[in-house]
Amino acid sequence: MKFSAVLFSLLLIPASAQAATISGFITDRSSGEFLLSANVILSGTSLGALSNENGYYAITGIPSGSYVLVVSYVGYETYRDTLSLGAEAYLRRDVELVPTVLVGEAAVVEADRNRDERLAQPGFVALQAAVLKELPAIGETDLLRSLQLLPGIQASSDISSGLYVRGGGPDQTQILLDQIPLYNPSHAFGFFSIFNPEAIKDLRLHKSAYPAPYGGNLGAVLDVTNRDGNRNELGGSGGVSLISMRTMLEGPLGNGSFMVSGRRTYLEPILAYIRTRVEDIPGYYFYDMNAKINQNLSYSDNLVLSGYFGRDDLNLETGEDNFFNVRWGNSAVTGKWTHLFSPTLFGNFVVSGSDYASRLSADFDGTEVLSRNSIRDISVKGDLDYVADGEHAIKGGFRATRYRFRFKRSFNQDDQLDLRLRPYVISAYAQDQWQAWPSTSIRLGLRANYYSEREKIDLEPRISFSHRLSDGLRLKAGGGRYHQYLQLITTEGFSGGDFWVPLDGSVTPGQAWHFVLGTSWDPSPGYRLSLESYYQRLGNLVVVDNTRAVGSDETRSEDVFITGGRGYATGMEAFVERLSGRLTGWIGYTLGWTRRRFPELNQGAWYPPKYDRRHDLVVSANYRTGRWSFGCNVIFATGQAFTPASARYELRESARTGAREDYFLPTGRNTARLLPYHRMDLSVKQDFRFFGRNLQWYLQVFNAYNHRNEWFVQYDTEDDRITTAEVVKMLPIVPTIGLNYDF
Amino acid sequence: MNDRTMNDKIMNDELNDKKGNTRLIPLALAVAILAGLATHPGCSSERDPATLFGPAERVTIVVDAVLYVDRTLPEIIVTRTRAANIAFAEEAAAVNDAEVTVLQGLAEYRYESVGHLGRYLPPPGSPKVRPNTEYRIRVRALDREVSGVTVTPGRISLDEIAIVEETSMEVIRRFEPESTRRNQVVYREGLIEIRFDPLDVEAYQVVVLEGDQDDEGGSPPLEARDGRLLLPWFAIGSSGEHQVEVYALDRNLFDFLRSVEASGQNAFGFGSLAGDTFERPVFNLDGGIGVFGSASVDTFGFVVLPEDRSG
Repeated sequence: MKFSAVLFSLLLIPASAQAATISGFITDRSSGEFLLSANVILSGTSLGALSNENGYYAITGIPSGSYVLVVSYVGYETYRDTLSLGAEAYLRRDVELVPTVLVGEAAVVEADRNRDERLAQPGFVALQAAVLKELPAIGETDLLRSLQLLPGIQASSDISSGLYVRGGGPDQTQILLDQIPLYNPSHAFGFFSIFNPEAIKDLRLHKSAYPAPYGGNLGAVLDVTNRDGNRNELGGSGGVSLISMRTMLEGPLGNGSFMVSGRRTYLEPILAYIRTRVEDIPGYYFYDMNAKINQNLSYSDNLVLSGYFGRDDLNLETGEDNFFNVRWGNSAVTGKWTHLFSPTLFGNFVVSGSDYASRLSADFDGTEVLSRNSIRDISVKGDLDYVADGEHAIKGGFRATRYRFRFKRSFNQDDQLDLRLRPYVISAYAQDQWQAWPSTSIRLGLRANYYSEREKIDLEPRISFSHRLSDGLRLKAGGGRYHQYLQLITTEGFSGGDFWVPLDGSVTPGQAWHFVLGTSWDPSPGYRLSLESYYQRLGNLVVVDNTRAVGSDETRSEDVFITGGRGYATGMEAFVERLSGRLTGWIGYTLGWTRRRFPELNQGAWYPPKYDRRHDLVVSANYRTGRWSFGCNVIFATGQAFTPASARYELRESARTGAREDYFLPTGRNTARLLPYHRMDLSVKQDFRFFGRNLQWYLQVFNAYNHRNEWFVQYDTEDDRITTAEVVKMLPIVPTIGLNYDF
Repeated sequence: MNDRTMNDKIMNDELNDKKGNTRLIPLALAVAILAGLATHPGCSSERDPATLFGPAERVTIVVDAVLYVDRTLPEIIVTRTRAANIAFAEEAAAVNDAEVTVLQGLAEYRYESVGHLGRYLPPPGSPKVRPNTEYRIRVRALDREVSGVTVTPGRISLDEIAIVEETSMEVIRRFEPESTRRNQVVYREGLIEIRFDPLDVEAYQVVVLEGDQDDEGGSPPLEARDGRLLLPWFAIGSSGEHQVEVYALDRNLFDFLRSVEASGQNAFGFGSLAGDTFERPVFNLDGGIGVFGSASVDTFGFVVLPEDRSG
């Protein structure tokens, strides 16, 4: 309990007397949007702060004197102002930053090289939507697919936008949109993510060792923030691609702003046309909508209402009595009130509701199959940011979530399973961002979770550390403990049928320890190099038991899952970025090992999960000249693990003596590898004006050299009893064109 | 991006266009070279299919033996595994010189080899299999010994077969257990429900035989703790006479059927999707693979009449 005692004593540190405080909001001058994680420093001192998710910053403990306030943010001109502060002065200084051309020479951010140690935490990535939009994509810009280009993050296939972060599966990564958890972040069975690129402001990804304000997952956290809306003028943007159309409208509203965006596919006419020539072509569409209203009630009070609604629908009718239909979607609403209690105490309070539902129904020759899953949660959340003095920024908060799960499965009019659970999780945390020395920042945190099914409090200490060894050279380390109470049951390559179930008291929830050690070096303003190693140890893992009898009505977790799993993921990531100039981009390399072990699988031996990658190299470059922009991604990765057949045997196929079947005996699980994966994507974009409007057309070529990467292996026995092994390939070259517009 | 920023960017960019265009040449050249290299046949060469098979597992004995309650000891088949990537020949896989023994209590029943296809027959006059009784097997061949144990389930007796209305689940009429010809049902007239006293077993399997065919596959293992099974219509392929066999499975048979099903080998040919479900089945045998299980069985028959679509 020493850790708790230290934390508690830190909470009691009073604000410095005889010292000045400066605080305010950082906004985008053109749109009025709050800028989060902007770097605010008093030049020549170790005093500084990061703006929080509401753009607010506060620096305390400033001795009287004259200072140069420097505010920097990637993609904006650096702001400088000379200030004179007396003792015990409280100065309010709101700063509007002027956007620059992101990829132009002017985008070099001086202060970024000396960025705040608090931002230089291990395993952390912050990206703006503008950066994502520059990357070559398949069809259209996609947030999750773009993230797959970062080191430590892998895709399972060309058609999947699922994130496999540092050896963790998609179920171990928590995805938040405006602080609301999303249970299925994909459209089109994983091909696209649900994030409309027009609506995104920025994102923060904690690849591991995430801090105390987050919890509930064993792996990573992706925190996506949507735009608030332009406070100054009415405008919008959008795009048309071969697959979908999207648009976003924003503008001032009352004493704030609004933003509404929507996206919908228009594949139906194309699919209908194909259906006239080819049988069994399904009908499919998806759509999503985002909306946000932002109102300043006073200088100290801000109210935000936001919502998301999305649906996927696939329908296949193969005859009069045969159909297959699957629908899924998320809905979420949030109300957020932020209040400035004092220049050094900032509060953020959220009430949110989220609803995820998936429904699979089918009828095969009069036999009905139905599977429904729904999760509804209502959450109340509060966070307080307190800048105690120049050295300590204290953060504390709570979250209470009540879940309502339902999983129903029926076959042939027989209700086989009807699981209803209403667990709740109450969490509280405290964190101290301690500027221990001018060049050293330490973040200490403790989170406590109470899960009603477990009836026990799980404590999760978190720590991270950043130390500036010399100008631009930093050493980073971090670690923490994590628990996960909800389990995703998914089918690889078919995310539409995903469903979540809460673990009950019959099994111990999964837990993980994360350790990260790394260094980053900014040798010059336009370059950044980082090297990070990680180790994650996992325990009490579960996987769904596929061998249960059909119709089993056992709903206890110990009956539904294979339990007692252990695992680890370790590796090293190297990342070289060029941040400014005509040519920008990065080279990322990951060397990794991931292993799992379950007593009941693979005869109890360790095995690599299929997403284990020894090597993963990504080169992503963007070259801008004049109105033209050229993008290129080159990806090389170790092939996926698979289980080869080692022998063949013949045995009965049912309890009845008679018919015999050919079977294959596998070797140890995932003992072989598919061929290495490699691919190159290209894009070209041109900005132009048409009737006074800014437009951009683009051509993107996914898999430009048409290399058919291997996806999975399928064994079959032909009539002449010869076994064939067929490799099913991934996508060929896919060129797409589209148009983006502002209005 | 707002208008002003965009305009500034375009003005600046236009000034740089000429210089940029000359800079573009090396980039275009680089892209062309990369594309040329990449489209070289070496980048899209097909792999040797032999590399998709794992190292051949050393010869493993495969036992196929299921005892049926109230029937005489069954034929047992003993084979061995073969390399996965060569043509499978039944004769080459057969083990015809094994020593096969079934044991019950102190009694031993030594099987005789038929001499081909690895088939072994019980000794003449061997008794019927008893319910709720432990049997053991011992197979000696190829310098190895395979052994296993099964406990037979109790007798299953189908008490009632009824046609029930699809939505209300009310009984429309009942079948006569002993008569196939009189049990007539129009295709999809209602659901066929089977009722019986549940046994202390993990699961049941239903096998539907059409006409005189005898090679129909079975259902996945079905848990029916309430002694109630509904026959899906997609299991009925055509009109005519059908025979339904309901098996109560012992632990070994249940483990094998459920695990071989889950390994995906029978699921739409999608068996080894990069390894996530391709798992060794549960055999419950020492020294070899296969199944030494037991079951009790009861049957009924019925005739499916074509659906009247005239009105």
